[in-house]
Amino acid sequence: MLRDIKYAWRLLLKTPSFTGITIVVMAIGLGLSIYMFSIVNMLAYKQLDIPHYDRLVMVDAVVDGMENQGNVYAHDYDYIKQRQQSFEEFSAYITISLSLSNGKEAQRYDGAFIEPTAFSLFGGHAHLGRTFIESDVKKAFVDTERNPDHSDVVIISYQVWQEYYNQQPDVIGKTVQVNGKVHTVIGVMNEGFAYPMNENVWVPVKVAANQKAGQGGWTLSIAARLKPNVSLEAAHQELLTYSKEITAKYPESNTNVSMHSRTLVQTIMDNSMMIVYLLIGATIFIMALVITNVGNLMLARAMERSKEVAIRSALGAPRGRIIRQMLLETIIICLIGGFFGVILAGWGLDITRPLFQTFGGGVSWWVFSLGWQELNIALWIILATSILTGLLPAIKASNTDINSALRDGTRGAQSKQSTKLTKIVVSAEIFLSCTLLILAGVMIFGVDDSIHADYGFEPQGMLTARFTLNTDNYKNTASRKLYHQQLINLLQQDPAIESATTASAFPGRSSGRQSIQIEDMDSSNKQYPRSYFMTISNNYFDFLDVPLLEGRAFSDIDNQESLPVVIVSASFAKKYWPNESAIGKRIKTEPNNPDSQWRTIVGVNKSLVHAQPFGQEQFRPAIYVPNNQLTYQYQYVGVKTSGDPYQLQKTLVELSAKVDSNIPLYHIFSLSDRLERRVGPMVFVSSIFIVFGVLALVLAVAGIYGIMSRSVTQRTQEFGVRRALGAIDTNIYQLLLKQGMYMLLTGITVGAILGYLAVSVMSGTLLTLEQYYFSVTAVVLLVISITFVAATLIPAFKVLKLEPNSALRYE
Amino acid sequence: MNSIIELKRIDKTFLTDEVETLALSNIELTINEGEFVSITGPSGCGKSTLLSLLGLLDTASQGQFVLNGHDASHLSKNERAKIRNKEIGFIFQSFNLISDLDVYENVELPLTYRNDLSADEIKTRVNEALAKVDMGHRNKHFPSQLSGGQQQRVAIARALAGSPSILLADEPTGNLDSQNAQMVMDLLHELHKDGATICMVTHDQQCANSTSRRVSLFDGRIVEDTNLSNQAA
Repeated sequence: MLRDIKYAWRLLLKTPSFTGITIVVMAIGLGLSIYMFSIVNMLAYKQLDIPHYDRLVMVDAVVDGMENQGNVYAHDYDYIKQRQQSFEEFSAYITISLSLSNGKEAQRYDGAFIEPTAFSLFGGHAHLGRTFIESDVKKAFVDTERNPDHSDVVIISYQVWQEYYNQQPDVIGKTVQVNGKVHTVIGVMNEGFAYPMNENVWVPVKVAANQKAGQGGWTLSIAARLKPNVSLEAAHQELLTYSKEITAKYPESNTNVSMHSRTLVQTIMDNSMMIVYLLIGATIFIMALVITNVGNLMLARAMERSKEVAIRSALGAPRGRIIRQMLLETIIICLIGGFFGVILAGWGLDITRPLFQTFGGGVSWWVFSLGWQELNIALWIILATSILTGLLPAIKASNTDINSALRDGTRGAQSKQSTKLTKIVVSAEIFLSCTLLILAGVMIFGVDDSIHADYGFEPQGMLTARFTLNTDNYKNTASRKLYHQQLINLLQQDPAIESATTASAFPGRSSGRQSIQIEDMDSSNKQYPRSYFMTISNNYFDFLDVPLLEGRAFSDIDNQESLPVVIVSASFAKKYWPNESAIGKRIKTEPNNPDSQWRTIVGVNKSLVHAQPFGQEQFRPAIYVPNNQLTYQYQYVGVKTSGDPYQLQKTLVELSAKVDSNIPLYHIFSLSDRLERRVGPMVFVSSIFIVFGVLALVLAVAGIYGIMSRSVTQRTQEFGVRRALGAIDTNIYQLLLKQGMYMLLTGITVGAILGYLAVSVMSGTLLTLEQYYFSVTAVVLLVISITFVAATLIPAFKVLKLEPNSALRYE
Repeated sequence: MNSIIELKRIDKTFLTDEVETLALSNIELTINEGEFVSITGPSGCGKSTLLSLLGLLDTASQGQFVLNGHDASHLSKNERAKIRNKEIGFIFQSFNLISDLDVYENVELPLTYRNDLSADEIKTRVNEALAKVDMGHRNKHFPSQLSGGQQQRVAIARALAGSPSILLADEPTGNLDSQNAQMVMDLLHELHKDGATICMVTHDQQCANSTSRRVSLFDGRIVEDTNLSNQAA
């Protein structure tokens, strides 16, 4: 074995250019594969260090066929929890932004209201103090109170203990204000614990059985652990059974609502698993191209060594030994390529980290480095690639006809088998590259569209921040309204600020989707359409410079004592009153709530995008209610300037503190940045596809040229015969193009069809891509065809420069 | 007697790695219609090079090449190809059949490069040529399914199909056993009897002596040109 390794190494050193090229191609292919595996694993398949992780599932609601939309109603959770038989633990939590304040310094953290049992589900333990017990929750929360925090204890993360408490060893028992209420710190979690997603502060809740059924209301996330012998599918079926029961009992809140379960890691992917599958598919295609290219080079090398193999066979070398010897060369190339590939992948992850951070901060298991799990899989990828790349050439070379190989003057055209193999390889190369290039091209255009999407307004110069009116001073709309007015007035007095407003959401986001009842529209079946819902200050549309197409804006006359009013988007008006004006019509939000009032439509605004600027979400209608009539705790403030909006950041923070120093602003971003963060994942996917596209093009051009060049060169003697028989150069070119046309047409047809399927799948899920399919495909086919024709004619031109006499003697 | 090919003061020089090798020197050779010329000599004496020049597969470094009374020394690649197609039939030592084409297609091949033949004419010529070498019954076989002798007969049929002025054969029996070699030689003699002009390179003295004229080469020069017509007959 050692002798074979030494010999393989010596042969590789003898042909440095061949060895160099194959190692570079392998390093790029393997580097990309390992990088993509790490990303995909991190996004969708990572094995988290949680006890019984294989049995931990997250239960989410499916609303109108869309997964992970609004989680599960508290009532439904309780209904199922009392009856389910599939899970040994079934626990709820709500992720929420929580502020810690010691009276001097307020700090915002991602936190969670969490049932005591959830800690054990996620495998957390206290570094200091203890985790929650049932008696920590004073009172079960109910829907109508709109605030589930009835505890006075809090647990903080190791990170918060380090940063906020400077690792004080006596932190347990200290008091701190959590969202304005005094809590006692009872525990510090173990280092690295940040579940369910990336939380740092936990407050206990308990979901009781007295939820008001059928009225929607609070929604929860559910973490559960399957019983040891229960399959995910069986549990899923049980969930569906209860969903149907609840829907039958409460159609007004649960029509088109069901449930599904998946792993914790996959919950973060929301509806984007298709992207993960696509990235996996594209990576496999790239690897297939790499394997085809390097395999082809190895095959050419093996064929060149057929005489050496024949000599070895004649001397008694067993076939297995010959295969092993030739395979060793590929393994050495792949191992060296893999080594550099791992370095490339690590570098790629390094430069990806900031890209991911720009769109959401990530979750606790998004670690951008190669751990043992990734390196272990990388090794398997390298070995599998070695086998796939080297086995066929090794087998073919070991199958040499000893007699003919040893005999001098074995001239003749290529064998039929060899020609067939070439045709298959070239067709495969063409279809792989076509599919990838089409998908990459279409994705690049689609994502560019979403980046430069029209949200219905110009976000330049706008700075926004979040605030939460959660202290005892802001328990009702009247007190919140006062805060809003004071804040807006104070901000607008600053000369640097052109305009200021508050709202529950700016374009790009919404305050969720509400069921809407429309007066005079049949709703006897209690099935209501849903619409994006926002509460806004009176000058919201002025601030955004968005025109009202009909009616009027909100004004001070719209208050809690006056007629309840609403402004609807043009898309809303067009959907429900396509042939008449919407002004004066009445709609009701929360139609299942008996206290809900009819709201009269007083204005129709130009439609704004309140979700991702692509896919079906883009076109959903929206409604706006005045903050003066209904105000939520969680709000945004926006200020506008003609210059750099971040220059207003200090002013914004200082002025808001003047209104109420206990209400800190957080998540301060320009509106442009917010919108960019919305499409951040798509930008990442687009960047990946640009890399895929460039790589596919380079590999395709190099691969097709390499194979065709070898194929044509191998036929030098045949062309000599043809020319001896009177063929002129044009005849040879025509022959090659005619024969190649079959490969080209097969490859581009399969590639175009697969590309179309991939684009259709993507288009239906996220982006509107199909519009680009034909133009991108046309360009891709042209590029591939030109490459193919050039790859055929250039080597032929070289061959035809030989005199027929020399061609006939070509070995 | 009409001359088909005339070589006048032909030199052929090869340049390899800056080393100049004189393969043929001052060759004067005329091949007349109806002759069966054999070119013999030891290995490396220039036999095959001479045949390549005769067949317009290569160009001379110096001298004049006259084909059917026309100077063919300075023809373009395509003009030479057209002449090869119409005037010259090749028979190679290693048969040089195209493995992806069946017997019929191999014989048909040179005719497909012409524009002056109808499909029917091509078909007739191919069938006649195959019949002449007694391979008509194997017209759907691929070369790999034939013996060496059968492959060479197909190669001869291919050379004949275009009704060339001259057949050039490069060691036509070199890859064959004695029985098949004899059969091929018999076939060539038969064609010669029927009026074909043949020029054959061989190192087999017995084959050479069976032709009507023997040209011997040594170190790129013609050292003997003997008329053997009495013996050949």
